[in-house]
Amino acid sequence: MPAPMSRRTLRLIVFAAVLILGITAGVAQRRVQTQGRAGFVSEWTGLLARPFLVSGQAVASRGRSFASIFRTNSSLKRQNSALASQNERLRRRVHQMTEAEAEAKRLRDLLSLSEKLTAETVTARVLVRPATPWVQTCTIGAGSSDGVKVGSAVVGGRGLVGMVFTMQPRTSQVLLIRDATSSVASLVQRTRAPGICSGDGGEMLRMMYIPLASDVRKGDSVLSSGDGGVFPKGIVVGTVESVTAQKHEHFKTALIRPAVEPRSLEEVLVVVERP
Amino acid sequence: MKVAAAFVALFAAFVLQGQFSDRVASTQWRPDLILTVVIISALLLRSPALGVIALTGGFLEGVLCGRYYAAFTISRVLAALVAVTVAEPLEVNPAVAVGVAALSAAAAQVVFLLVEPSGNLAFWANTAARQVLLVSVMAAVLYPLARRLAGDPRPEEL
Repeated sequence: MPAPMSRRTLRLIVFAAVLILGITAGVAQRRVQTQGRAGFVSEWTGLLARPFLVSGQAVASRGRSFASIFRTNSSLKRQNSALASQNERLRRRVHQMTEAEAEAKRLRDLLSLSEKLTAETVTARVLVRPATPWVQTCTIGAGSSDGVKVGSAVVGGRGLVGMVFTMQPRTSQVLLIRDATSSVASLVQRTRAPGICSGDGGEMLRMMYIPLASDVRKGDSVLSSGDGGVFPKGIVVGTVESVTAQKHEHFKTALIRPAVEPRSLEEVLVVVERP
Repeated sequence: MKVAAAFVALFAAFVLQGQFSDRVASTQWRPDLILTVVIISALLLRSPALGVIALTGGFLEGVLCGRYYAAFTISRVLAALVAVTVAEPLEVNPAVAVGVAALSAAAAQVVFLLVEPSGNLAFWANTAARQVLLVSVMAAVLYPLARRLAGDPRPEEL
């Protein structure tokens, strides 16, 4: 039976083992460091600390999220309010620009018409629209101080509107060509057939006294002939809708749809002086 | 107070009629708000001021059209007179108000024709009929509202 190891021998063996282990660990540590990997100690430290770090991070993250609810809520409210007012401003701007675009188009139409007319004109806004079924009149914002006279022709971007029948210094009343008491010397553009256009009291005009032999068809354009000296020549009056000719009559009568719809009228040209 | 309110309503009708009356599809259906206000005033007011209201209403219609001042003024005054005369012995409720409005509006159209004769009787008859209908409908809507605004008791409480 071998003799039991002495205490001194055992201490020596343990010391040597620890030394070898230390040297091995040191060499291994140096090796892994030179290979760019994490150290042994730090690997173990990291492994042990990981659960604490993860749970700490989770708690902190939840805490930050919770706190951010309050911060975000008030910031979102501010942002929402700012965006709402910005949206309102932009909406108003779009509305204004749409209006300005429509007005510019109308004024361009009037300008091109004004260039075609060989007469001096003034532009006026429609102030009062036709207000009763009995009279087809409107009030415009130009009067005697602008050179408007009784009998001045009034023209819209699309055609003939009517003529001034009373006026004040800054306003005038216009008798529309749709009124039953108005009459316009006209001609059919395609065949030059003459006639007199008069309102039927409603939405249409009647072109009367068209010679029987004249060729007038649906869709023909009717223009002012300039006869009578009130309306300039060549302004569009309307379009032929139908033609009737009775056997016992010497003339044809045509139903004309006016080119100008008073409902959509906002600005007009008043012919204040003719050459 | 009621007279002042009637004048305010009249001027509101003047502005609305001058700006929006032609927005309807057909010329013959243009609502005559001023005539409606005159007739409703006649049903609610039994004071001499009614004559001035009717006169002003007619004049304002003349201003809107720029002509036919006499026809508008006379016809509106007579419409108010018809409304007061017919409604006086009656207990005015919304149904009676509609009937009186129709009668007064018809009287106004006839008087207008007599003062400013039209060559086109068919057009006149057609337009007049539509206007009577339109004024009656507007009276049916506006009379109870005006009565409530005027603070009048309901007919059953009279």
